[in-house]
Order: sequence, then C-alpha cells, then structure tokens
Amino acid sequence: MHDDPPTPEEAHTAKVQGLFVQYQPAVRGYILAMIPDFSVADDVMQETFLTVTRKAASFEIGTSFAAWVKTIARYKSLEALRARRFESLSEEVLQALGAEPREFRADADERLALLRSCLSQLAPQARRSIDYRYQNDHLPPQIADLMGCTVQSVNVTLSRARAFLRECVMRKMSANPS
Amino acid sequence: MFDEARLDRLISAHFDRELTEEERRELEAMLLSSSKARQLFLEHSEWHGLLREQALQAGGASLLEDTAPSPPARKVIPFSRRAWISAGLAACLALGWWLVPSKEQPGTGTDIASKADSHSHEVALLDQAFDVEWDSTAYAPGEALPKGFIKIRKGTLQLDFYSGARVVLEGPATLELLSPNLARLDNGKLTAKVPPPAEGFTVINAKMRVVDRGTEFGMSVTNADDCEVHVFDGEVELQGEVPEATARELFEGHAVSIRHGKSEAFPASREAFTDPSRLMQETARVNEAQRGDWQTASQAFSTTPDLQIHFDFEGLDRTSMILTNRAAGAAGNSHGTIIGCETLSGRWDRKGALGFAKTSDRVRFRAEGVTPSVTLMAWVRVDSLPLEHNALLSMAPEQIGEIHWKLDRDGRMLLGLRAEPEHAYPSWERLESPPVVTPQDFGRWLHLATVIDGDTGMMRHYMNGSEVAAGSMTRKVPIQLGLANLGNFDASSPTSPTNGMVRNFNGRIDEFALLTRALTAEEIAAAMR
Repeated sequence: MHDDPPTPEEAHTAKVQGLFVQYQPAVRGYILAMIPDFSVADDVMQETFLTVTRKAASFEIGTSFAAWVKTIARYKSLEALRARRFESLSEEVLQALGAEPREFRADADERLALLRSCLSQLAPQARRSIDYRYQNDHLPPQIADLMGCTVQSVNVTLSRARAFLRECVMRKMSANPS
Repeated sequence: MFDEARLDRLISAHFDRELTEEERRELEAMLLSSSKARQLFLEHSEWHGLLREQALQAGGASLLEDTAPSPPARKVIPFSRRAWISAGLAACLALGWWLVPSKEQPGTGTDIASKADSHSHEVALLDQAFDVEWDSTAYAPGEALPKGFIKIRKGTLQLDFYSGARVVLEGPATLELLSPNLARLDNGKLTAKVPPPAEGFTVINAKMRVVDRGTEFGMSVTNADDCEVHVFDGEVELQGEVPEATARELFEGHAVSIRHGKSEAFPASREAFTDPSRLMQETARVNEAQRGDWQTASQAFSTTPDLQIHFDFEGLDRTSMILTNRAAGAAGNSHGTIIGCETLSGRWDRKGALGFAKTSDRVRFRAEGVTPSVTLMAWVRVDSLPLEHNALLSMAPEQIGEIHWKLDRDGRMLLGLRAEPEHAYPSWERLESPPVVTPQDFGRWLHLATVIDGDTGMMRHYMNGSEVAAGSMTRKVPIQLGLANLGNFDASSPTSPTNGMVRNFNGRIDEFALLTRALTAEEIAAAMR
C-alpha cells in the first residue's frame, strides 16, 4: 500500500469500476439469461469486470456505461458459450434477446436493500429454498432432497417466493420514490 | 399471443436448469415470436441476477466481518471477495446464512399446518422424553411428530423415524425433521441407530450430509462451523462441503471433527453420547417412580366418598375374567367381568391395562341405584376413532336415566342422558365437546372425565384435568345406574332400533372410576395428576 495520490488514469479506472458496481446486478442478470449455470456465469462476470478494468481508458465518462458494459458482457458470454458445450438457448434466440431494447438499471443498491428486507418477510421454508438456490447454488432436485419434499413443490415454492419478492420490492419502491 | 403462465413456468425452468429438450424448443419459439415474451424473459433475468447478487453479497459480507475491515476507498470490494472465494474459500460462502432460518420462531410455518393437516406431514414418533424442557411446540411420548422443528433446552428425546431409524437427541438441541429419512441438526447431539431397511438415513448440518451406510453413528453440532461425527457401528458417508483432506467414508470406531474448514480424525467415543441402554434404564427408573406415586394416590382415591366403582386394572387374572372393583366398601357383586379384551401394559410398563379392539370386547359390571349426580373418569389411550360413535361407557340401556359416554369420529366427547322413553333425538339431554382427541393424540394416555351435576343442572366434559365443554340441562333427570359396558355398547332389547349397532372402543383403558356425586374441577384436576 502506498499513500501517493492516484494518477488521473487510476482515478478514471476507479470511477469506471464504481460504475460497474452500480450496474453489477443488472450485468449479472444479463449474463445469467444466457448462461444459467451460476458458477460459469460468475466466471464470465469476473472476466467482464477484468475487461472493463483493462479497457477503462477507452470508456468516455458521460456516454452510456450501460450500453458499453452490455456489449462486453455479451461478448464474454458468447465466448463462454462457444468454448464450452452446455445447455442454453439457441444463438438465434440469444440474438433476439440481445436486440431487445432494454436499459440496464443503475439502482442496484436501493433494490438490493429492499430485497433484503423483503427476504426477511418470507416464510421459513420459502426463505430456505431461496437461500439454497441462490446462495448455495443448489438446483431444485438437490433442494428437494435437502428439504424432504418433491421437486415439483420446490418449483412452486421458488416461483411463489420470486413473485413475492418482486412484488414486495416494487411495492416498496413505489411507496418510497427516491 | 402466448400463454403467460406457461411462459413464466418455462422461464423459471430455464433459470433453474430444468428445461427438457421439448420445453426448450417451446420456450425458444415463444421468445422468437414475441417481443413481449422477450421483455418478460429479460425482466425475469434481472430479478434472477438481483437475487444471486444479494446472495453473494450476503455470503461475502459475513466473510468480511470475520476479518479486518476493508478500507472504504476500495469500492470494488465485491471482486476482491470473489477472488478470495474462487481461491478456495468457497466453503465459507455458506457461513452464516444457514443460520438465518433457525433464528426465526420455531414452527411459524409448521404450526399453522399442525392439527389440521399435519397428519400427512408426520415423519416420526416421539418414543421417550426425559427431563425435557421444550423450546418449541411440546410433544408427549407416543405422539406423532410432523415435519418441522424440535427444539429442547435440556433433556433427552428418543425419536423413531418412520423410515425405521431411531434417533436419541440430547439437549440443548435444535433438530429439524424434514422427512422420514432426513433431519437437520442445527445444534446439539444425537445418535442414530439405523437398521438395514432405513439405510441411507441422513442427517445434515449447515454444510454437510452424514449418510448412514451401516448401523449406528453419533453427531454433535455446535454451530455451522463446528461438527463431529462418530461411527459406532458400520459406516457413514460424508457429503457436501467437507474439507478436502477428509475421508469421505468413515468406518466403525472412527470419528472426525470439522471446525472452521479443518478436519481432524480421532477415535470414536461412545461416552461422549448418551448410551441408549442407559436411556432404557433411566426410562425404567422414571416409570417405576411414577407407578409408585400413582399406586399411593390410587389407594388413597379408593376411599373417596361416593366412589361406587374404581377399576385400576392391576393384577389382572385372565382365568377368572374378574376385574376387581377397588372402591372402598364396594358391593360384592360390583366387580367387572372381562369379555374379550387383551391384557396389555398401561401408562407405565408394569401397569395393567385392557386393550379393546374387537366388536365383542368389553368389561361388564353392575352399579346400583338412582342418583341425581354422577362423575365418570377414565385414563384411556385412544388408538383410533373408526366409528361414528366409539363407546367409552354405556349403561342401563332402554331406561330413562341411562347414560351413553363416547367419542365421535372427530374426537368430540359426547354424553347422552335419556330423558324420555322414546328413541328420538330430542328424548336425550346431551353435551358435546369440540373435537378434543385428534389423530395426533392417538397412542397417548388421556384423562377423560364427565360430570352430571343434578343440583346445578350442569353437564361438563374435562380432558386432562381441564374443562373442554359445559352445558345446562333443560330437564332434570335422575341417573339410572345398572348394567354397564365399559368400552362398548349394547342394546338389551332385540326390538330396539339400536340393536346390533357397532360402537366398540378402539384403544386401552387402565383406570376407571364412577362416583355418585359431581366432582369439582379441582377434584378432577387432582385425580388427573
């Protein structure tokens, strides 16, 4: 560690990284749409971050960071898809999804905070299913095994929990416009 | 247009990696044909990403709390976290979060389901409980246990899982029953004895699955990061987040401790766990002490004023068929006659009881006189309530003043006192309790009492010493004692419409008393103890 003030390049890179953090959940969602495997998606996420850092200089502050990072994430995802044979949607469909006009949201911190408070409102079983799925990266058959119930009931629990969380966050956002 | 609910399901299946080839094609066709479908898909993916992000941050956050705080200038913390994690600390991701559900109130999800439909969620039977202080819903030995939490502050429980595995749980402990074959130990100690049909019985903790491949193991969990497994007999398999150097298969005589991601092998120690045979001895000792107390109380009770009939079902002699009436000053002809019935054990191992099962099973006895008031009390163990009416006692059929005491199919206590000669419904004074004997009570000993108070014109039902129903009589009818059937019902007259009706009791009785006065609530509570 040194206490020297950062060079303008370092400051710029830090700013770009800061923007990345702001968009991180949106980027993650975008990658997961193409690569539903959490660990592969995590790797792609990390590569995207590294690319963003490496190419930070080429990003002009003031232009759309969302569009820039989306392009990088998309490129990295397709690279991963081509490199490994695993199940995902066809390239044609991924292309159509990529062409769909949809802006990345930058309100991640707020939504994550609301999401945390909504998670605490979930019933214990639903909460546990969500934790198993998202925190421990278990798939429904493993969750069913751990919870002593059927895969079908895990699917129902997960979908209801997701719908509840979505509605809960949306409700809190509209009640609390910032 | 597309079916939105269907699309929703397919999108979820895509994110949970459950799509079949056919479903994938269906999803792709929907996505290609509609911009709205694509928007929905992208919206789902946003939420999916948000949930995953939240989960990673929650895992990372607790990771950071355990180390030196990072300087705030390092805004890009999530990735330094990621780097650590991929550097081999993946196991720590789970740190903390597994504990979250256990912080919630026990049974918030399960209690709602209990009584009403918990029957289908039952996974084990509580066989024994010693010296237990409950921290969740309390259960009594003999009770079926639904899925959900068992929390005890102290004491020892013996649980028989429906798979055949027997688990001894030592408090303080928190065990979540997940299925007949699976339980989660959040903290505490247990030993599991797993006979061959139950092989594969699994206990999980925060990170690991302990799968039985043999016959007996012990497990001790202090918290998410501290667990010991001892194998007493046979073999267990460790699955899940087990430190790399740890043997995945553990054999008889071996034990392993896993603390903060490090494992250590050492010899298994039987002494560290409750020995089931010691538990048996303890059971026997407690049983014997309780039986002794009961004997003293029962002898004292025999001299209670106005006690006409007191059967304690002790010293049953099958050759004589006689059930002795222990009431002090009992008339010589007031002993009971046992018809059918099996001689079984009662509330305690060496306490006598009669089992009622066949339609013929009953104890016949005669009580004398006409009385304005009566109290009926019995210790019963209901095994099932298969009939519309399951008779506890029927007396003096076909006469005004006759009594029918029974449980209905839904576990209500019913009393009928005939006030008119006709057989019609309004000819009876009745008292019906709400359902008090639920399927969860089957196999447990219950104290049932009913009082008809001729002075106040009230009828009352009690279960386990507490009043569960009360009602006033519109007609004051003297009670006609006479020939009675305990655990059954018969119509003496062949012309009676009730002739041939089947109302036999299914369960055990190990004490019965009939008094010709109305006991107070306090007296009933005292008799129950």
